[in-house]
Amino acid sequence: MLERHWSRRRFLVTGALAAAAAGLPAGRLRAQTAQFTRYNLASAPGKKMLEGYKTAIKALLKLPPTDQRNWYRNALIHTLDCPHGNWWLFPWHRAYIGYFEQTVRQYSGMSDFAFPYWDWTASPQVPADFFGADNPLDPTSSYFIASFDAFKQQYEKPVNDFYAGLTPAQQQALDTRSKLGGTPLSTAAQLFAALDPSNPQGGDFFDGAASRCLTAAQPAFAKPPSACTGNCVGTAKAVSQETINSALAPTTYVPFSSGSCPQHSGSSSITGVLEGQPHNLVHNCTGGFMEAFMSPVDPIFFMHHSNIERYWLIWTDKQQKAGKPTLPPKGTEYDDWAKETFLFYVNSQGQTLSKTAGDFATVGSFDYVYSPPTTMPAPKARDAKTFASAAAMPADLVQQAGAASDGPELFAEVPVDPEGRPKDKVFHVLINPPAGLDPTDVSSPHHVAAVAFFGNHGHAGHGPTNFLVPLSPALRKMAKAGLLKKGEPIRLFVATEDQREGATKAAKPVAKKVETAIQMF
Amino acid sequence: MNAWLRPLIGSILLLGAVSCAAGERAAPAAKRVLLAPERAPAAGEAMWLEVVVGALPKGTSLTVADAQGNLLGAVSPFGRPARQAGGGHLIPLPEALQRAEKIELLIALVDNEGTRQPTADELREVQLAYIAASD
Repeated sequence: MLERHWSRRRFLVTGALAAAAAGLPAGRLRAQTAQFTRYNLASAPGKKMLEGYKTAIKALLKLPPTDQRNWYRNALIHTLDCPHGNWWLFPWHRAYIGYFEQTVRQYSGMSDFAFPYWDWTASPQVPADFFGADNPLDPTSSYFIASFDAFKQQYEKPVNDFYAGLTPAQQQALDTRSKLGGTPLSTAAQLFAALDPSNPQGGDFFDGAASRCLTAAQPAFAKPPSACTGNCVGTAKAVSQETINSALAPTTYVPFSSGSCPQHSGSSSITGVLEGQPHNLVHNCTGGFMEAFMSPVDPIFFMHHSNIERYWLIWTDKQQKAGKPTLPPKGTEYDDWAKETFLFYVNSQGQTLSKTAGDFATVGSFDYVYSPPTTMPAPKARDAKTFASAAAMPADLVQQAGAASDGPELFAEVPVDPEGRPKDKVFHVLINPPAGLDPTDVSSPHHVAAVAFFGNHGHAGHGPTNFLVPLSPALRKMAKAGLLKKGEPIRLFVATEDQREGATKAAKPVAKKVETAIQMF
Repeated sequence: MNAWLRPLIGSILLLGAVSCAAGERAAPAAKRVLLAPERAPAAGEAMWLEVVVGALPKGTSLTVADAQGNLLGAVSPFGRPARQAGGGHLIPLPEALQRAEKIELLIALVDNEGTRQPTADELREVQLAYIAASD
C-alpha cells in the first residue's frame, strides 16, 4: 500500500523538521562537541553573547577605515562579492560570517563568543535588543555614520587604495560582477556611485533613521510602519513553520539551494524557498541597509544569516539520516560548485584570503554548533503506541495533541474504498464534523485531509485501503477555533467526492463515520 | 533545464482584475491565473509554483494568493541586481492545492501605497514545478 507508507513517512519527516526547528529537550539530542556554540538570541546565553557583540561593534566601528576588519569595510566585502540567487549563497555566507565571527570574538572580550541566531519563526519581529538611540545593535544609533556624505569623506581614500591594490584575479572578479549584476563596481568611483542614496535606482547606503525600516514601536513583520509595507507583505508567511518545512523538504541540494550558474556574481534561473522566502523577505522587511548589499552594516544581519546557516545544517542532517546527498552530485556538478573562488574574505588578522566554495562544504575550522543542536530527532522520539479505536484513547491525549505543536502526534488508519474507480475520487477525512458542514471544505478546522489514489495503476479493483492520516494538525486548528471540547471523543468520518464533471452537483458527498485504529508517535 | 525541476507549463489564463477583501489575506487588485496540473505529485515529490518575474520596483513585493485570498507566498528579490534582472522563484503549495484539478491564483504587486496588478513584464510566467521532496 504505497499511499499508506507515503502518508506516514511524509508526516514523520515534516513533524521531525518542525520539532528540530522549534527545539527539543537537550537530553534527546546528541552531545555538542565543538568549541563554540551559537545560541538563540532570545535565550540567556544568547543575550550574554549580545553584550559581547556590542563591545565588539563599538571597537570595530572605531578601527581606522584602512583596516579591513573595520565595520564598514567588512560590509563592503558583501557588496563586492556576495552571491545571491544561486547555489553559492550558503557556502559564501558560511565563510563570510565564520571569519567575521572570529574577528568579533577577538574584540568582544569573550573567548567563547559566537554569533547568536535570530529565530524569526518563533519571534517574527526585530527583537527589542536591537533598538535604541544609544545601542550599537541599532544602525540608526549614534554609533553609526549618519550620512553617505560623511561616509564618503572618511572612506574614499582607503577604498581608492584598496582598489589600487587589487590582484588581477580580484579585479577580474569585480569586472565580471559589474557585467553580470548590472551595477558597475570595477572602480572605487563606481562603488561609491552604487552606494549613493541619491542614485535614481536607490543607493546601497542609508542615512540616519532610514538605516532600518522596522522600528521599536512597530518591529513586527506583520504590522510594519507604512513605509515598509511593500517590502513586508508576505514576510510573516515566509518565516512560518509551514514555509520552513517546505523549504527543508527538497531531497537534493538544488532546489534546497537556488540553482547553478556560471559565476557566483550571476543569478541562476531559480531561487529556492529558503533563500527566496525567509532569507529575502526578512532582509527586505527589516529594511534600510538590510534590504541592500550593504546589509552587514545592520548588526542584525549576522543573526539573520546565522539562522539561515542553522537551517542549512538542519537540512544537511536530515539528508544524512535519510542517506541522501548533502551537496551537488559528485562529478561535474560538484566540481563546478566546489571550485568557485572567493577572493575577498578577510580573517581576524585583517589579511585577505583566497578560498573556494568547496572549502566551506562543512563548518570545518569555524568549529561551532547550534543550541539546540541542528540535528534531526529520531522519528520515534516519543513512545509509540497503538489504540484499537479512537474511543480507546485516554481523553487527555486528544487535548494534549490539540494544545501544542510538540504534543503527541496522532494518526488514524482510515479505511478508504475506491469501489473500482480510484482516479475519479477524492476522500475527505473529517473529525467530529457538525451537521451541515460541506465535507469538501478543506479550510474547515474539522477537515483532516483529502486523500486520493495516484494515477490509474495499482489500486483499480482493490478493496478498501488504509491511509495513515495525521490528526494532530487538525486537532490544533480545532483547539484554536474553540471546537475541541474537553472530554468529547474523536469521531472520524470519510466523505467520497466524485470528481467527474457534474458528479458533485448531482450528489453532494456525504460524510460517513468510520472506525479506525489510532497510532501515537 | 535542471534535471531536478520538471516544470509543467500549465495553461496560464490571465483573466484580468478581480476584487477581494483587503488585507494580508487578499489582493484588492490582482491578476487571476489558472493552472491545470497534468498530474498530482507522485510519492517523493512536491508540486510547487515557479513564479518568473521581471524587474520589480524597489520597495515592492509580488504576492501570490489562492482563490480565497489566502497568501501562499511573496516574491521580493534581495539586492539591486536581482530586482533589476528578475528570475524564477519557488513558492510551496499547500497539500490541498497540490491535489487540485485546477489551481486558481491571485497575483498582485504591493507597494507602500497599495496594490495593483503586475504588468506583463513584472509577472512573466507562472509554472508548476515537481520537486523531489521528503515524503
